[in-house]
This record gives sequence, structure tokens and C-alpha cells, in this order.
Amino acid sequence: MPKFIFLQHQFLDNLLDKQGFYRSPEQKDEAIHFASLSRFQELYGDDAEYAPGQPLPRRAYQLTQDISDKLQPFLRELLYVRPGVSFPQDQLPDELPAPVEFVKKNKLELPPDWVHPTAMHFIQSVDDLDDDYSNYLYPHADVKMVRDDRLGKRRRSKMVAPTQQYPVATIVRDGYRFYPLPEELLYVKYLGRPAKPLFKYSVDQSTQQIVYDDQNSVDTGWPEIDHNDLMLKAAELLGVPLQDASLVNFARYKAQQGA
Amino acid sequence: MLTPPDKLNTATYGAPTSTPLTDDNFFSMMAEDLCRMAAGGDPSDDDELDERQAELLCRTQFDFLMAKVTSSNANLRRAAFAEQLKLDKEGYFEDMKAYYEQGGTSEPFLVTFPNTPVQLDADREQYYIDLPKQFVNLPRYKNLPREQQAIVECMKVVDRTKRSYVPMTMSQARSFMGNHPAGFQGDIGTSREGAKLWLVMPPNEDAPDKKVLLKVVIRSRDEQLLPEPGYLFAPSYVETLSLAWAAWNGRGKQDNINDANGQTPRV
Repeated sequence: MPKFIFLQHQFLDNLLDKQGFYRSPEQKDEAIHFASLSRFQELYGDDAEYAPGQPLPRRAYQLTQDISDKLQPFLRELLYVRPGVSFPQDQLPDELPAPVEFVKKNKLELPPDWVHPTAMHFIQSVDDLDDDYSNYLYPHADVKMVRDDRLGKRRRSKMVAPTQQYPVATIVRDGYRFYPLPEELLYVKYLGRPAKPLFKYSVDQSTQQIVYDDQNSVDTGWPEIDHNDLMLKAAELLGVPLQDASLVNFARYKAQQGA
Repeated sequence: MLTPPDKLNTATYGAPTSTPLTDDNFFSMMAEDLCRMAAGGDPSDDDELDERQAELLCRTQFDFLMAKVTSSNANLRRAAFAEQLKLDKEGYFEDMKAYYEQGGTSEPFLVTFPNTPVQLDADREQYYIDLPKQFVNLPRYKNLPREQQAIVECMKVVDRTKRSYVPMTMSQARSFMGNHPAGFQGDIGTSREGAKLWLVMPPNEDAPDKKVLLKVVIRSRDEQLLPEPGYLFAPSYVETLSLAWAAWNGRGKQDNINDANGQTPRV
């Protein structure tokens, strides 16, 4: 089965043909990308809805299980290790990436697709776990984000000073700074930006036809259930008038087929 | 997998928890409870209330309640002691009045201890009998003595015809030892020193009885003893938690405007 990007392009072509339009694959990629980011932003949380006394917008990650499930393809995990600390790498769960070292003292450098951290834990090896679990799936301490103007008083506090049990972090340019540095590992789970879609193709010189290259094409990563919304947005961006009921029906039909 | 607790702590907490409430985790569980109340669910890192602050709040409120309990109990104990002292004094003079003015009222209160061993103090080379604690510890009023009557007899009736034990004061005992009167040949004196009753008899003689019959006067004090005062008990989990909760809710609101000048009015 080809990647979804092929079906999405085919679907957009059908809509465009019906209107007598032509758009290049690059233009369609752009439209799908914008639609994808727009959908992501919509589910992840609209900035305008964060107001004093209203810490959560109507739609946000982990506000409902439905939204969390939809954003689940964009969750990424990272492990940062304190420089000079050695640990048994074979104990890491397979799905976790290999740990990287903190590059600048206690600062975490953000990966390029970083949008928002959903969890940051300090992880330490412990011996009393069941064999069924890996040490590195058990948070040792949750990192609390503190505001810039609170860090100084926190560090001097006799009551709530940052410790290995109660670490804090502040946001800095291109990263986060931790107080203190974890003794072993820092586990970070974050929402990453949806991948930029790519409809890879070549042109057959004899027939002047576009030949789709499935191997090197890239999907956005959205689950199938969201493709309908994505396509309607992309079509709108490409200038297809969506008042036509038949088009909407067609979109629904394609969505049922999994396009 | 969570294992069920071996004991449901319903007495203090009223509901089963994954960890039974013990003295060791009393405050940490209470702190977590307070955090849960403040968060309205599972605590998260967005919460203002830190677990350590919650524990401090709980400990402070517990100490506050405990101080009240301790001082209240001390007052109760003091009042009960004063009342008991008054009763003891009245009882003492009543007993004395009965003994001296009406006479002969000791006999109904004689308590007999058969087979009381006669022991040898090797250093003093003198025999003695340990007086029973109930007798020695009889309450007194100030420095006035309480019941003194302690009678020693031979265990067997036959022996009683041969020798008798004569109660003596210390000076009588001293004179008896140095100058053994003819009329008392074979008799043995007894002289009290604190919790011991020493046998007064010619030196270098063995005590004729290994065990004797001891009779002492013990007037029961039971009817004069007040019941235990109604002490307050240690502050309960719920009481402490509700005070800590009130303390946390009584705080000022956070200044959320990042102007760092401290002048923003609190709302």
C-alpha cells in the first residue's frame, strides 16, 4: 500500500480537476503541510484561549483522551545523561533512543522539531524493581518548571530548595536549564512538530508523466481519522471552493476508504 | 502490580489506602493528602503547593494541636492530684481518729502473709524480714507516720508456745541486745527500719524459724482513689489535616504580574 501522501495528492488532484485547476506537487505538499500544522495547533491549544484564571484552553493535549490519542503520533522521547556517568545501556527499553549528553553544563539543547515538553523526569537506577519493568521507565523525580523571577528565591529557600528529589527547571533561549543536574539521566517526553510532507517523484522523460517514488516520500504522521479534516483544509488553501456538497461528500467517501 | 495492604487503616483514616497509615508515614501521607486536596485530584508540577511545604504545614498544625492537648492534660492531672491529696489528708485523720478514739479497729484490716522467709544480712550478721510493698507504700500525710503495726508469729501453733516475736522500738531493741532480760529468754524482738523488719536476738545464734507468719495492717484506699481524669487524646488525622487545609487556603494570592516591584495589589 502506498503512503498516505500519494492518496492525499490523488484526492486533491480529483478536487482540483473538477474545478479545472492545476497545482504542482510542491504546492500540494505546502498546502498539506500548512493544513497539518493548523490541525496540530488546533488540537495542541490555541494561545488566545490561555487567559488569567483560565490556565487551559478548550482544546489541549491531555485535556481529553481523544485529543491525546490524536496527538500521540507526535510524541517523542529523549534521554539526556549527565556527562561522565556510565550506566548499563542494555537495560534501556528498545523504544527509547540512546541517551545524549548535556552539551552545556546543565542546559538541555532542544531538538529541531521541539514544540512542547509534556513530561520531564529525573531517572535513577534502583534495584528493587520487578523484572517486568525497566528502571528507565520509572520516574525518580518530576521536574517542576519555575518562572524566571522565582528561581533565585527557590535556590535560597529553606523549605522548597531544588534537590534531586524536587528538581526545577527554567526556560532559556533554545533550551531548558536544570537545578540541580540529574545524578544519572533526564527523561524528556515532548510533542514534536508534524513532519513536513514530501511527495517524491521523477518525470518520465519519454511520456512527460510524473512517476511517484514511494520509497522516499514522507507522510505527515496524522492518524487516518484526521485525514478528512486535513484534506478539506488543504483543498481550501489550494483555492477549491468547498460549498459544493458533492465535494464534501466525496471527501467523506475518501475518508471512509482511509485516504 | 500493587499488593493490597495487609491491614486496612479504617480506625484513623476511615478508608483503605494503598499504603497503611503508620507513625512513620503519618506526615508524608497527610502532606500528600493536602496536596491532593489543593490540586483537586492527582497532584502535578503545575501545583503551587510543594509536598515539603504541605508536610511543614501539617507538622506545624499537629504541634499546635499537640501543645493544646498536652497543656490541657497537664491541667487535668494537676487538678486531680490536688483533689486526691485533699482526700488522702481527710482519710488519714479519719483513720487516726478511729484508731485512737475508738481503739482496736486495726484487727479487721490485718492482712496475713504466711511463709514469709527470714533472710540473713551477711554484712550485718543479722536476720530480717522484707515487709510487703502494699504495707510500706501506704500513703502518709506529710511527715506523720501511717500504719506501723506489723506482727510476726511462728508458723506452727506449737512453736508459738516456745517463743514469741516482740515488737520493739529501735532503742528498746538496742537495750534488748546488750542486756538480754531473764523474762524474755527464748523470745525474739522485731524492730522496723524502713522496708525491713530486723530480728533482735542474741548474737551468734541462728534464727529458729526459716519462715514466719507476718501480719500487717493495710487499710484499703480503693474507695478514696479518684478515677482517671478525662484526658484529651492526641490530635486526630482529620483534625490536623483540616487545620492545615485552612492554613493553606488562608494564604494571599500569588502576584502573577512579572513586574518584580512588589507593588501590585493582591486581588
